[in-house]
Amino acid sequence: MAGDTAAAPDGTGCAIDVERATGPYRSANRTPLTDVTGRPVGELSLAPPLLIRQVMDEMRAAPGQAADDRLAALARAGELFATATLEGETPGTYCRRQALVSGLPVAVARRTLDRVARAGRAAADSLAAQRPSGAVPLGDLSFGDLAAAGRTSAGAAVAWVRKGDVLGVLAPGNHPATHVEWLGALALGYRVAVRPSQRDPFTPRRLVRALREAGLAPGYVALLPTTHEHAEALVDRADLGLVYGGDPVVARYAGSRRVLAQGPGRSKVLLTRDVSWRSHLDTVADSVAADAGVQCLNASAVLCEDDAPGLAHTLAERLARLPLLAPDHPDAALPVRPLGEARRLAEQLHESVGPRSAGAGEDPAERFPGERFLADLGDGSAVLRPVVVPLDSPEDPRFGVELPLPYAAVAPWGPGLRPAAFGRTLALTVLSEDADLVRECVASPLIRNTHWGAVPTHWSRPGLPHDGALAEFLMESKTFAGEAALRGPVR
Amino acid sequence: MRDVDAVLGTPWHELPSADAVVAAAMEWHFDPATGSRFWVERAASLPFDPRKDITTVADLDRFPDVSGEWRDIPVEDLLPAGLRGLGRPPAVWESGGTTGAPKRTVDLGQWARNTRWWSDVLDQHGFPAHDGNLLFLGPTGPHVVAEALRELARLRGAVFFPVDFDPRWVRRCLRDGHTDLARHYVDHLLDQAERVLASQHVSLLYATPPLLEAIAERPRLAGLVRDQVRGIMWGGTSMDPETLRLLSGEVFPGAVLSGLYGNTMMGGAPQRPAVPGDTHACVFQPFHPYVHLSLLDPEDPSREVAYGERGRVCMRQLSPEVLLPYVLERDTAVRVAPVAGYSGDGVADVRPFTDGGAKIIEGVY
Repeated sequence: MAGDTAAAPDGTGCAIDVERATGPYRSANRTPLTDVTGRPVGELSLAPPLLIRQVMDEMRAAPGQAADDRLAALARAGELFATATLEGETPGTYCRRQALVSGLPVAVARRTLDRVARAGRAAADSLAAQRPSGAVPLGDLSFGDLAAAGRTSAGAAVAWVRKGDVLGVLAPGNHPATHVEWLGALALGYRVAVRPSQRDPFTPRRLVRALREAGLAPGYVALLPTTHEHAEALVDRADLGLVYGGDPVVARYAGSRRVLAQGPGRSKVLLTRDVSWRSHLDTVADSVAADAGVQCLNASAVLCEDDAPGLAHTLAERLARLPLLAPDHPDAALPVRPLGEARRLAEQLHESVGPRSAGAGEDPAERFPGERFLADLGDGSAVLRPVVVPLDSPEDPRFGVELPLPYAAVAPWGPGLRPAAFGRTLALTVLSEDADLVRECVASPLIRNTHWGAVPTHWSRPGLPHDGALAEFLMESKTFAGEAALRGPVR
Repeated sequence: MRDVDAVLGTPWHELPSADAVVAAAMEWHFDPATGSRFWVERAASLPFDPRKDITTVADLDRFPDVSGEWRDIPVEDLLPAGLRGLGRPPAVWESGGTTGAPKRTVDLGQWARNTRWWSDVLDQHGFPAHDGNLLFLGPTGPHVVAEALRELARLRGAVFFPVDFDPRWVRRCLRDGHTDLARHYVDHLLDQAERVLASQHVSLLYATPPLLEAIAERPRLAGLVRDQVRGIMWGGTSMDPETLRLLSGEVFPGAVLSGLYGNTMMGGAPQRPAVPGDTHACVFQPFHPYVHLSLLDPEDPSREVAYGERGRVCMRQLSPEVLLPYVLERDTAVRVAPVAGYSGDGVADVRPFTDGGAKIIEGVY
């Protein structure tokens, strides 16, 4: 609030405060917030563990709000997020700030405006869709007429209830739309404490402001920026946790019933011999590079039965035409990182990809290893160029790698491989006439979402599970039986 | 025997100049009649004559950091000859061992002198005196802090209620990943604290920041502290500014909080009362002119940083029993200009020093 009054004329100067039930709160611990060029654009409040615990205890103690009011607030909040000026921040200012600090093309934040609006509108329907068909929401249980204690007959019902009250979210910074996920938890009645990524504190802050403005009761949501070291305190204090990270994070929580870890997507496209890859190049390129290729839903591997090397070459040429622009340019399409970080990434790519990748031109006189993987914008930042790696086999260790840029490993597919060869896959687009194969993909425990035909891997719609339905983690079914059940029919 | 108290042991209200203390310390510690075996023998290998060449605080930079040798040297070698035969054995205190094996120092009154001054500073903060007792949550044993707090309780007319804990054990638990065990141990400490608070008239509390946070987590215990305690002293580990603000503003609003920075080798540097224009909520003052804290550029330790800048803490102690002319501490801090009523620079916003090496585990202490 105070930070925005001090905002620079270009709209970037601002402070991100802790948002607790009583409103914005500036921590005495702060760290500079910089954009991708290294320019300071404001300060980020950092919550030490004691503040995290205080704020989360306040959330628990705060009054609740009826489900209908909450869902109405969510719907309004979605619209406000997309259209309103919130604490002086217009949608345009939000998009620009988000782009300059995260390095994502500004178009990503613009699309997120609409995605959040749709998610807010759809919250009530999504809630109903995720509930087991035989279960009753707690609010619908009738206590007056026990014979009708639920939709089930004879005085007994399956009640659909929360496993806890407070969800702690360690949010990722790769894509602003991931914040849509915890809106679903609010719909279920959870109080949600979010630790924003230092790369994107703007999206969750705008969501918190929109929710407050829309009338969500203040105890339901808090923004708690903190250091990496202290993030765990937020999950410790919560009843349940939702965390995002790489393989080590996923492995760490693999045995936890209390924490759901969302890791790399390793999404893929599969083209069998009965379709022509040339007529599906748009779907493949879009799957790899939409939204700068940074989502877990972006394809990082392509399996092609007919002429995989040809597809790799053509795909590389197509992606190489994406413009190399600063993140706030309306036509920007690729991720931008601080130059030093981009160079480290390029050097790693040089090590792993090898001296040449498909479609790359002649090697220029490189000043450092892997220079061809980036474009120096000359302002302290660099665009990460798309990378396509042709492989001889999906057994290659580069198959299954996921990077924060449009990256695709292209390997040949043979019918003998079957879906078991995919490894874990969040979204799979199958371009094939083979219905048995598609059914096998849907059934495979390794594949979370299957898209059939020209549906890119990153396609989604509110209400459809992303990595399973969040409600499967946050809710549980319980028996509720009244005395009327004793008089009911004996089975 | 020289009258050591003439300069090195004067009471706080009749302060000699810093350079006078340096000159007296050189005479005392390097004269074979009064100095320790450690320093008198060391003098022969120094490329300068301390009694002639060292006349100012800045000259102390010429000494090597010998504190590491005090991890295993026999304490008899550290005791100045001039302090033998006083009829009482020296106390020996050990450092916490955060950065390796503990170091040892001898004490025949320097800590008590330091504590008398600290008590004066607490008066300026408005801490209660002769009105309620002192609950101490900290280590006894080879650590000096309990001895200082026992003396402080005596000076302020308070009964001393110690709850002992072993910080080395806690650090070991944390280092080895036994966070559950460390948490269990903290519960054990707080159970003991709760019994004292529930049955005794306690107006003063000493605890480490992690224990104060843990108290804040237990509603009944936090309520007992809020009901009675009017002065909270914290020390042993650093505390970030926001946690300090929450503890004083939201968790224990009815008590005065005052920190103590220090360790076995440097003594206690209490927080001075705030003055107009302070940019830091908490400024620590060493026991000047017997202890100096210099803030050195981590890149170039020959340069002292400017006021308002962060540097690595270099400690110098010049007491009758201890000469430590140059010790690089594990911490960094911001250098603060002197203010009226306090001699010498202050330090603020103390944080553990990291040079990318092993992480320092501060633990519960």
